[in-house]
Amino acid sequence: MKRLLQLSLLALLFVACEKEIQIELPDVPIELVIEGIVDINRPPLVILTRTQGYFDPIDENTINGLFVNGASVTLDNGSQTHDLIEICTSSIPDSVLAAISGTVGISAEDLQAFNYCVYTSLDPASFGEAGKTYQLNVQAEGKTLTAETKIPEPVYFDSIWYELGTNQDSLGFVWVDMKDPDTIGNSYRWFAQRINHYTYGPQVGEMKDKQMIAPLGSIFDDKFFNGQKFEFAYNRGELGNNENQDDEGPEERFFKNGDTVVVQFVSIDRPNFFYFRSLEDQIATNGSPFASPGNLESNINGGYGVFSGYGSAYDTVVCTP
Amino acid sequence: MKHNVLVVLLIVFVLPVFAQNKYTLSGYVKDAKTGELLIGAEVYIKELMKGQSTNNYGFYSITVPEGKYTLVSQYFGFDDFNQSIQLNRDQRINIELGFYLDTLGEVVVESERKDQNTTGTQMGTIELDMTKIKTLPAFMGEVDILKTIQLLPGVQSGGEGNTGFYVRGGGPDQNLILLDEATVYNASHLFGFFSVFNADAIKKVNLIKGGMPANYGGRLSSVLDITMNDGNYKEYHANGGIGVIASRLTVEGPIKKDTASFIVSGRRTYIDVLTKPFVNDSASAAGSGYYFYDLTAKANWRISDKDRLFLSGYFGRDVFTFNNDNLGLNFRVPWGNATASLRWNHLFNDRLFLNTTAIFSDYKFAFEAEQSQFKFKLSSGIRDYNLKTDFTWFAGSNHKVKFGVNYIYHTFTPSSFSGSSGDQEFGTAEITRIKANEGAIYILDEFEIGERIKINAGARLSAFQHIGPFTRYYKNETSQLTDSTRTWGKGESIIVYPGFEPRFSARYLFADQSSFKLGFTHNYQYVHLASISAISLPTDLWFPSSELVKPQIGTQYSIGYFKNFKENTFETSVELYYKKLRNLIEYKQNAQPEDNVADNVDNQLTFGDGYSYGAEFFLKKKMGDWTGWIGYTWSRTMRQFDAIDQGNEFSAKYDRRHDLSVVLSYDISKRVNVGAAFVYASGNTITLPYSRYFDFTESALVTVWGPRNGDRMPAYHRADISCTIKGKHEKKYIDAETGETKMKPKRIKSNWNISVYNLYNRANPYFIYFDNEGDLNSGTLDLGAYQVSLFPILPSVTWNFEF
Repeated sequence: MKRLLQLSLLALLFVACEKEIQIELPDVPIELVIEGIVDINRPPLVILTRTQGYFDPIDENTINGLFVNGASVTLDNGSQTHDLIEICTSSIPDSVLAAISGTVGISAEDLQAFNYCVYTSLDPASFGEAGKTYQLNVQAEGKTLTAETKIPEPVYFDSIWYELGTNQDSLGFVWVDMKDPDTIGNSYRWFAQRINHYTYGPQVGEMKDKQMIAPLGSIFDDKFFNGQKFEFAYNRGELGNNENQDDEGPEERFFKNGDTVVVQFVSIDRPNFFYFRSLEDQIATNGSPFASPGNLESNINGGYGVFSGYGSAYDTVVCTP
Repeated sequence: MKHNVLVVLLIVFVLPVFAQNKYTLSGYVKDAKTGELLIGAEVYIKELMKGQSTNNYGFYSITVPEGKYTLVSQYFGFDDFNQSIQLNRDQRINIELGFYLDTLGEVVVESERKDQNTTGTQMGTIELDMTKIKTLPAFMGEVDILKTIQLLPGVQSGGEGNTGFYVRGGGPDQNLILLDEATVYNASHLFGFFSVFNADAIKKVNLIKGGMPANYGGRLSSVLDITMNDGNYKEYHANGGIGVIASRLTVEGPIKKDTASFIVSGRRTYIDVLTKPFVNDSASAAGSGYYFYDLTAKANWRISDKDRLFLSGYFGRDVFTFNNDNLGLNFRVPWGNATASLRWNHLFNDRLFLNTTAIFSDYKFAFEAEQSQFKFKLSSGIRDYNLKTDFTWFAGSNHKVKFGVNYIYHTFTPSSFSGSSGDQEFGTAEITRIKANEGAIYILDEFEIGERIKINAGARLSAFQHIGPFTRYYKNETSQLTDSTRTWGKGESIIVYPGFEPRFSARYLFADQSSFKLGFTHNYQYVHLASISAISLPTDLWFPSSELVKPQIGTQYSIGYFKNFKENTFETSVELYYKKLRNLIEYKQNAQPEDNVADNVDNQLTFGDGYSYGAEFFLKKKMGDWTGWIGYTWSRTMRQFDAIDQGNEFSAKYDRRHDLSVVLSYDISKRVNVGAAFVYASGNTITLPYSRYFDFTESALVTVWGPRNGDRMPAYHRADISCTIKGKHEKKYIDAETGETKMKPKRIKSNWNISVYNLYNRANPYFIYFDNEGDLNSGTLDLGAYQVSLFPILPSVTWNFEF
């Protein structure tokens, strides 16, 4: 609603003019950024990168230089400590990359685009378990970063189905029916991926979504329906600024008859809820002059980013109206 | 108990008066032509140079020893009044002042009582002359008092074309805006570009930015006291104007000649009509539009020589509608103020004046949307019932005591939401309303010690009580609502805050008639405005002090030196102030509007302090063909919140180091006046993105912001000009008896006002924002900073008429 008002204000100011300007920013120290995920029965993944000055140039070299190599990364699950090892895409054959892509939730294309490095462990004892609390410790470039997260118990849908949108005959949304546990404070994230391939258009033959995508508004908690059984629907998300052939136009935000959609429904802890909510807000207000600037609510000590415990539940639906 | 205290105080203050054999001269000062009461007219005894200015109801009372005197009354733009009197008993003399404009419409040199600005105790107080305001450049042709006060030192504008104002480092909620004593909670139309006050309906504007006397309270930073015209007591008149974006009409006249009068003023915009051409009829958005209107009405009745009644009201609404047939979406957003005040003036005797006011004040905001079977409505607002009684005791010629009581019953609707999908209702079933009592008693005494020293000392005792029904939601350490709540029943006291507010100002008059003044005020404020957005929107919420939100407390120290030159042609002053603010509020970082639903608004707030200091320089030329002023302010305004920026001190949003205004008005001839204004201000503070990182898992670019308000936009400067051309106000006629050619006034008078806003087309930054486009992986990611400027050179023309 706030946004609608703001848009209308802009619309009214038909005399307003806009121009791009140059701003000199001060040099600020480089900080380290953690993207860490522990998910049930999956290997832990930690991506370690650096910040850049806001207007620093972006090209292949600088992007490769963002990854922090040679860090000491340890993960403690309460009973055991595991050292995570660094794997970079440059050292992996393309055929293996495709397989890794599925596991890490990052498209193979992205993985190939530059030398993408992750810290992980293939020791099954290090894989995520629901209910456990994890401590992450990262030492690199003279800095120490720590974080803690918990994998909540996953919450499963009672049912999942597809419904056409109002006045639509081939486009619709994915609906689910679930019961929120009685405990207050359950927080969730919704991801979906269309795993069928385009049979038309410029991207014919490609898998429609190369990874799990969280639509804006994917993050919610049980403030309004603690302990209740309820139905809800999600529209289709888009990946950052990356445009698919159906991301603009009448099919935008819709699933289509015939799509096969895998939904990853993730239970997260409260610090993660606040991080992702502030992240979504920052993405949604990108380019909005009205947004009040706010830094993300990170759960990392000594750096930026987030360490997430994912209690993932999966379900699949074929879109037949 | 309260009364006993007042009585004791009164006796102490008033006692010296009875020592001599004195008599009282009292009465009202009026405009001879319209019967309109004149506020702030000087009335004095020439031989003693003792006297005072009339109060808000045009009343004066002077007590002096028996004798033969000349009673003089003066008012800016009017002929002097002189009358010899033999004072040997209490006398009532009602004074009627004739307007200066002779039949040719020529302005003769005005005389003002000497040194009015240097001899009073008040500092940081500025009165605005409505006739002068109307000749200044007007934005889009709409004369706006709030934009004029922004040109005064110590007052900063809320942004390009914005009527919001900040006084001496105080927030926008710290200004008490009174329209005929009724509080106006949101004084702006159209997102702040126009104020809700129709200049045609206004008689007097008085701004107090420092040294707030004890009869005002409830806000920390300023009082903007606006008095509406009473309406012509003698004959019917209408005046109005047709402008670029709005038209207005005022009708006034006697209900009963010399006894009762009325005035009604209305204004409506036609932006909706103007923007129509841009919206194709067949477009899916057809039917969208925006307009605002306001209506001001006042009636007053002189019941007897001792009693008067005034009834005034204001009603204004902004309405924004949006339709989109493609999405099947339509919504309507109305918001606005309504106020009503009923006042009763009563003279107990020649020295004791009573005003009792009953006030209703209401601000509402609603958002109603419909999309297919979904309907929802969100509303917020504030409503006050206010009762106040003020006594003025004219204890002596230079001794005045004011005392009174005030009670307000507040009802706040912080955010209520209701919705339905088909037949199914959802949202908060019951609308949350917060109730509170606010009360105050005060006394102030203004007196002279010898010839040189004048003191205005007073105190205000205020209290605020948050009462039930109310439900408090508690949160756990991870900011998650818990199941535990506490509920208070109807009328049950939740918390009480008392406040003792001493106020003091003093003047020392030097032999050359220049003066030194000092002031101290300590104020409490129990209502708060929190803005979740970077700019002021009608969605900003008013809410009361509570268990979590303590009253805001402001303490201000000020000193000033005042001197006039060339027989008061030039007035100059220098004022310095230091202001400390405590218990200020902000939304927590990353708070979302939906957090207010099914929760307490104050759970989303964080608290901190602030301070401001500055120097204000003012040079004003009041008389002659050339008039105008130069105001310059140097100031610094800081804030500190534990939960913002790791507790580091940061510049307030409206911290501006330099603020300069130059305002000129020149009468080229009897019929042509030109006006000009120039403003220069340090750039607004801004928070800049210092660095960024890529969240590869989310395919997102994450901004890391620098310190809050840590940088500045480019400086703001702008010049406006205007030209007012009056039509011929006379026409020739041949006298039927003598055959001579004579002149007589025309029935309809009119003038054209042509204004040019932003004369040299400066692209001032309204805001700067940052955007990123493209994709990292394909190497097309592009980051940019963009500056939005609102108004280029913008001419406007308004035709005003009067008959």
